[in-house]
Amino acid sequence: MDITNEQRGDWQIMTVHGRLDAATAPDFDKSFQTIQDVVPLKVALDLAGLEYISSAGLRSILAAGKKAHASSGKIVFAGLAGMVEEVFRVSGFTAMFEFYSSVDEAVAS
Amino acid sequence: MESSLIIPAEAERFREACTFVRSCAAECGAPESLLQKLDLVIEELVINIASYAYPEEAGKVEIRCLRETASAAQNGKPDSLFCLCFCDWGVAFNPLQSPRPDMEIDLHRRNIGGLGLHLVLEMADTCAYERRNGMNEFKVCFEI
Repeated sequence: MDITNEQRGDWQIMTVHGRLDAATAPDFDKSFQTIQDVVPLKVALDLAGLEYISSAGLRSILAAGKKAHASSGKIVFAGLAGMVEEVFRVSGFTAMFEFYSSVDEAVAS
Repeated sequence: MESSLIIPAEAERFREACTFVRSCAAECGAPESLLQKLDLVIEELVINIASYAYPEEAGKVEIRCLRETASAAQNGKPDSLFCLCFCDWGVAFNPLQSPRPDMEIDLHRRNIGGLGLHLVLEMADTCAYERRNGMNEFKVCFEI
């Protein structure tokens, strides 16, 4: 898994590639820790390059979402497709977060 | 065709099981599109067995792959099935009776408990659990 962080205006953009599973979720958590103290924390997660996610990955995303929400910010998602989109849907995550087709659309929200 | 792998039931070992099952799936002619679902089911179940079947002591998990043809298929379905059997010799644990996560809850109160098994049940076409001779056997099948 590869993660890149980028700041655009008041948005923190995290781009995740590869597989977010029990083995790589700690790397996601570490990367998120570098931005988690921003207040309010507005995060756009670009998941267009994410091929696979398990409940361990969802656990990390849920924790990130809670932190963002607690700072009066939010976490939004861009580029979900295939298996990742299906896992979000059957986990009930689709109802909890906002989704956009691209990061550009997400940061304009 | 049937083959099996026995590994220590440790959360860190799930990728070995994924590699093994992928080679079985290829031999069985399972479609590419099934591979990520298989990975997900294996990751969730191996980690689940490591936590719940063996909460204190170390143990093993066996993963068997089998292809079932129409005559052996359950529920009289005409499809071929690619099935995974997960066997462990730990504490009795029926994944089919574990509580399902509350999907209607908001972000604040949502927790992730039970989500792994929920994903397994959503991805599989059929699941069956059996406890016999001190062994948990959980069978997960996919139509191919």
